[in-house]
Amino acid sequence: MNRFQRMIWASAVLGLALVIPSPAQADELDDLLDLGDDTEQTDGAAGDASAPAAGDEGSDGAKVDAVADPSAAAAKSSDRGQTKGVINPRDETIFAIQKKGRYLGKRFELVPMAVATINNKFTSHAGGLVNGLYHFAETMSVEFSAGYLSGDYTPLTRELLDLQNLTPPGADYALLSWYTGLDMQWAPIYGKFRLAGRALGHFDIYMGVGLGLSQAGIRQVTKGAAGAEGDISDEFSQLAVKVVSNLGAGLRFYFTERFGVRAEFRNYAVAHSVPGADVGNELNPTKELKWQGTLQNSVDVANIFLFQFGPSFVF
Amino acid sequence: MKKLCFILTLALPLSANAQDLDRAIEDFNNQSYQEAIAGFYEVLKYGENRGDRNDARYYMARAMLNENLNFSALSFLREIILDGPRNRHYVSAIGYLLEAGNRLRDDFNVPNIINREYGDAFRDLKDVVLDRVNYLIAQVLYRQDKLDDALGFLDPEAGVPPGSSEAPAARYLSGLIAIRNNDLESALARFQDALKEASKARKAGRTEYSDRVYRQSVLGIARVYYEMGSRLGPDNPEGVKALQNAALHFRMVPRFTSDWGDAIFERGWVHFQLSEYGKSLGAVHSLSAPFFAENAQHAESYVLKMTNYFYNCQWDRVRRTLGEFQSAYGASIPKLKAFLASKPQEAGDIWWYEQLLESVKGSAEDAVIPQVIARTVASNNRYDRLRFFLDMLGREADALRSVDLFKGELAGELLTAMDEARGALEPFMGRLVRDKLRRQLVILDGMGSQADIIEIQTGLEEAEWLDQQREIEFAKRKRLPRPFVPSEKFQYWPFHGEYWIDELGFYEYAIKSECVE
Amino acid sequence: MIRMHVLMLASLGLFAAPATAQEDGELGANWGGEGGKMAAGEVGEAAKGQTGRAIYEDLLRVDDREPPPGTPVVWARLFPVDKRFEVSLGFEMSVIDKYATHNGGKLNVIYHFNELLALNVFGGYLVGQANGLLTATLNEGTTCDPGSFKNCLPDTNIMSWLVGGDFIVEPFYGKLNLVSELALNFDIFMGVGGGVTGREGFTADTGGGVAQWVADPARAGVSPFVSAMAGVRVWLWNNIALRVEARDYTWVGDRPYLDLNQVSLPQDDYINTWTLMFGLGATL
Repeated sequence: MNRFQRMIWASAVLGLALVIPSPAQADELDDLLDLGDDTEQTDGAAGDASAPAAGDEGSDGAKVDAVADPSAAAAKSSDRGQTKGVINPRDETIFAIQKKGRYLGKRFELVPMAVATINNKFTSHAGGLVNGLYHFAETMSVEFSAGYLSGDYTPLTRELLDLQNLTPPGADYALLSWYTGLDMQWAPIYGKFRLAGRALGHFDIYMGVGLGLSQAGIRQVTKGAAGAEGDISDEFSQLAVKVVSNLGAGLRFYFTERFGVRAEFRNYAVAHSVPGADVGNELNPTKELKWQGTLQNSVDVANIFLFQFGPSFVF
Repeated sequence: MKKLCFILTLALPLSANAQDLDRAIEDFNNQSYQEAIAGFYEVLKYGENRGDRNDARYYMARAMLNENLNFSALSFLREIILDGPRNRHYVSAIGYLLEAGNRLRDDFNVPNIINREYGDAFRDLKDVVLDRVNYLIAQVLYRQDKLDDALGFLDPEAGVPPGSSEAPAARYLSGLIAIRNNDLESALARFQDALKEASKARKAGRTEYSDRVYRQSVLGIARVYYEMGSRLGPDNPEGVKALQNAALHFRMVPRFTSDWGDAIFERGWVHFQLSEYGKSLGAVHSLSAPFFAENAQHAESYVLKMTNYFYNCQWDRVRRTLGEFQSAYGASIPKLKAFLASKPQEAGDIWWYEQLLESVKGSAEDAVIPQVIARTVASNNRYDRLRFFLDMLGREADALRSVDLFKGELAGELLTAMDEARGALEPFMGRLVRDKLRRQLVILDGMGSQADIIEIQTGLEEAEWLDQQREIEFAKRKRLPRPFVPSEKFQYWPFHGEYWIDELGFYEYAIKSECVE
Repeated sequence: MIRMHVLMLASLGLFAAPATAQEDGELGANWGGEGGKMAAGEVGEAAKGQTGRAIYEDLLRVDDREPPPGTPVVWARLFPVDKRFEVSLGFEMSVIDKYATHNGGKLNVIYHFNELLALNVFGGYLVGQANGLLTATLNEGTTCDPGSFKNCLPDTNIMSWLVGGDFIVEPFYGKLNLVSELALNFDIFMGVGGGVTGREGFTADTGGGVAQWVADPARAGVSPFVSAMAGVRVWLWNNIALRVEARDYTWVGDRPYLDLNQVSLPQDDYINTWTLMFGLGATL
């Protein structure tokens, strides 16, 4: 049977011909016309109890008689290749092209965040950042960040100083304070989840890369002389303003069109250089390389891994 | 002296009645409506002055409306209207009657009263009330198949003007009349008018009703375009355009509204006509999700699915769909038939209604009526409105019994009227349910017959293919490429058997024809 | 076969206007109705296109409703776990190490009471050793006095065998799509629990000319621990999943340490061992 023949067959069988409506079509008309119960000129239930019943039995009786015996039709079934039950979806190519839960394109977003380091070894940082983003597409955005980090030395550092009279190299002591930067974000991964069996949420996973500036500094660490305790100064001595590169990934989730939350892990990489001999080793009390008799600066690239979390306001 | 006493004696009851009425009016004005109702009833029953009795009846009806005793109010307002225009409260009573009918979702009593009483005195009604009257009368006339008369009442100039709160429904009803007259162009124009009016109404103040009219207007336009497209045929460019318009309008029905399922299904046929078999199958797929499959009968969607596969010469998938149809509805047909023959002799017609209520709520296994069928009937709008009316009668009766002031003659009279109303409505409701179930059986039988025909045709095709030594069954087919994603505002999800609520209505298939010409 | 348009009448409710509350929220799409944009019989612009794009763009302008209350978010969950056992074997390694690193393996047996709650019983072995920082203190630092605990660093114990259990909550079930190509289902879970672990400790061995940390038999024992964890299960096949867990074991070391190295200021040595586990799980 070629395609044309199939069309003719389908038209005939499936009642696509408009002249003769199929039984289902006729039934839909009857569904309307059986409102003929109401054609009785009565007051209805308020005044005439018998009104709604009039004219009902006869028309229905005719329809009932016309019903074909369904059991015979149902009993006819092929016993070849029938798969009862749900179709195996893996045999079909089925997909959904659905609307996104929330749209971000061409909108601004403001995200104040609390941040804290998670890879604390000798130093730890905590603070806050304010991020302003512009989404120039659904999946691409540019972000400006500014904030302040309060850094301190970890218990590990203090233990080494107090119990072992040891300090790490100066560059490992460096701390960051203020930070400002710009980065690009791309959100190639989208997803959805069900929370506790009830609520539906949508999220995007994004990654970002950027550059910024940060003020580095250090608090003087003094090793104890024989029998004496070591000391960490309360004073924050500034080092140079450093270029910071950052790379991170995060998740953004929106409750409404205008409000959501973001959580990020972001690595800030900064090259610290802590001066050596000029000030009598006060800033760098550890043994370092000497070059031509001069104690060299302590240099290290610090990777500060921050967890950032905060509410998101979309405009 | 005797004369004076005699005169005084005569005067006493009259002034007492007037005082009772005044007291009741004072209670009414102070919003003590229960006291007012009791007071007005006293005057109505025992007042000697006819004018006072008339006033008492009118104000009592209004007080009842304020107390949400809507059926009781309707009874007394009806009496005022039956008095005729000479009753000084006639015009006001019409407005309040419509209000009572609205609250009860009454489709019978009030429209019939209005239709019968319509006359010159109605010209004194406020425009907003008169518009509603015209619409209701048109509705009654439509049901009586007096289409031209109905159109007269819906006319924008003389009946329901543009901008009226009844305008969307009036234009919509005109569209239906045009369909009945087989005038598709007029129907389309009227449905588009209805859509414009509904949009304006939504802007003024969105309600469930205005949303519903909006959606039905959209569906009306879609269906007219589908008819046009079907008649012209998909090989005709105008036909294609009409079908595409139909698909567009079906997609405009918002998700999770009561019309959404219908829109998806009918869009499936549009896509089939446009040879967009993947989209057509996708529409069916949405309907097979439990959200729809457990709550409404969609036997026809299986036929659509089989037809799509048949058109693409995928015989094994046709057979698999046949199996799915048998699983879904094979047992329902004999079960429904058995139920329809099982009514006990001594049970009244209300039995059908009671059985439907049980089947809708309980577990599917225990339901005497196949639960999907029961839920389909229960979602019928007409059934729903009648059920609401019955529920309201019950609640009003409880309210009447709980008020001490009403105990005695007033409660007796009103409860008797309610019992009579229920006595008439419940059997009617039962027969409505029975008729709806019978219609479902006819539909399912029809679908079963269609499925049988498809099976026979498929068998013939398979035999032909086997003769030509072609493969007719495939264990597994290759997955087809990822589809086109229109923009970043859309997300693509492959479907592997798990339904997510936000994906319903967006499914599509990728299907490749396996026909060999 | 197609329902005639007249079907609307019976299904409508247009015959009376139910008095319902006003709905809040912005008005919906103004298709064909905003001030009368569409004339009678006019074909909408968006519908003239042959491609799918026009129709999809139209979809964006439809104001969808919320599903009825109580509607499940997911039907026929692809990877059910309700009332099933899961067995997972994984490699566990410590992260954010202080003085010791751990590497080892763990076996988890989990019973899921339902889609939300589960009980996990686990056992495993971790091989711990001193890290570079602790080794560096041998060369530069002062010697620990085990009698008075002066100059003794805390957190110099390691875990070995461990047995425990968790009570787990799995509130998140979802899926994600990687650049519109690959979709993966996942669960996110979290749990708290406890157990016991074999404890070992280091002592400095300066014999043989090379200082090194060795296991001190006097410091061996058994310590109870409490743990908190969070993780994600990514489904790979029908009942096989990749399981990643981050866990913190909190347990008490065998000896106190001295705050500010003062004998008068001894502190209990609470040790936090953070680990990541990567494993494969099979649902039975």
